[in-house]
Amino acid sequence: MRRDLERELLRKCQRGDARFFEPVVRAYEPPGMRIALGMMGNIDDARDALQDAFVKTWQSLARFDLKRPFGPWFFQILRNQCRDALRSRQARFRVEALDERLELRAASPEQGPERWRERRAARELLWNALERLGEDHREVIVLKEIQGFRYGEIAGILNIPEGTVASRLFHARRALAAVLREEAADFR
Amino acid sequence: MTGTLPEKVSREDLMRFLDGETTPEERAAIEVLLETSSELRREFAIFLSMKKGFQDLSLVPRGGEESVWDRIRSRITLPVGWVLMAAGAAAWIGYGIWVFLKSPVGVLVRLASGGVVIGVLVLLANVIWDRYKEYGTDPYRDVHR
Repeated sequence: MRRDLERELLRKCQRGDARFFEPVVRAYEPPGMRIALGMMGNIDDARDALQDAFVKTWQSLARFDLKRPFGPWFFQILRNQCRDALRSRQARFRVEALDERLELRAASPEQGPERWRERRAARELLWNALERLGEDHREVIVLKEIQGFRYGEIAGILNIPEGTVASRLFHARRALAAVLREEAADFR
Repeated sequence: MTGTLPEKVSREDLMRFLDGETTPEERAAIEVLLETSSELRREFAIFLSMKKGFQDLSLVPRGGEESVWDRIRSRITLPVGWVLMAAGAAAWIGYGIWVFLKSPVGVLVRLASGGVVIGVLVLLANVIWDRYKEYGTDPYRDVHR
């Protein structure tokens, strides 16, 4: 969504017109869903967290400074919502089987079935290994590897310096590698 | 790192190199270090392998999953509807009581009519309260027919 259009929509939302919030929700729903899924591990809890984050965003919009970019602010609310939900008794990180309701990125056609199976096994190992990471490690991995944010964006969302993002990523990746080594010695 | 070749690559620099966040000079310097250190090369290969694995994880719900917008809309517009309905109902009830008290009927009829109306309102309030309590703990509330 164009920045000026987004700002105009948000300005109208700040006046209380909920109709203009719909395009904002639809624009931020796909990346928000990916982050929430990575943080929560399953679609139902991710959907609840995403909804709550959008509602909180709406309720806080009056305080939002339109000169600032909306994305990092929203993702910060979403991240806090996911963490709160994980700490509550109603939700906990539990991974959903990839086969059931989550689409996998299509394998490239030139790969043979053997290679495809190997990559699929690797994907499942990674997904399941996320469950065993601590919240701090998981969130930085999700923001970098699943959503593909740059260090500057992650720093804005987590409210930490860029150097800390790099350092946290290093520790998160090491922790993930350790989990993977435990789960599958032959991970490639 | 600012162009000069470091003796040892830091964790942060290795991550920035892996994620494509280095300048060309920093990149060249780290590549030289990777060629000379087998330990660094091994660790980098593990990180790179995990990164490639994540590139295959798109994490997109399968088609047919509805947007969250409908539920959000009902949540952010609901209070306005409730406020209007409550204000309208309060006005009507107030008007009804005023008409009832001013009407020229006997005390017995007033008591009987008042009892019926209050009884119905109490029952209605009980039903609403029970449904509200049930909604908070109902595990099937998000199940659609």
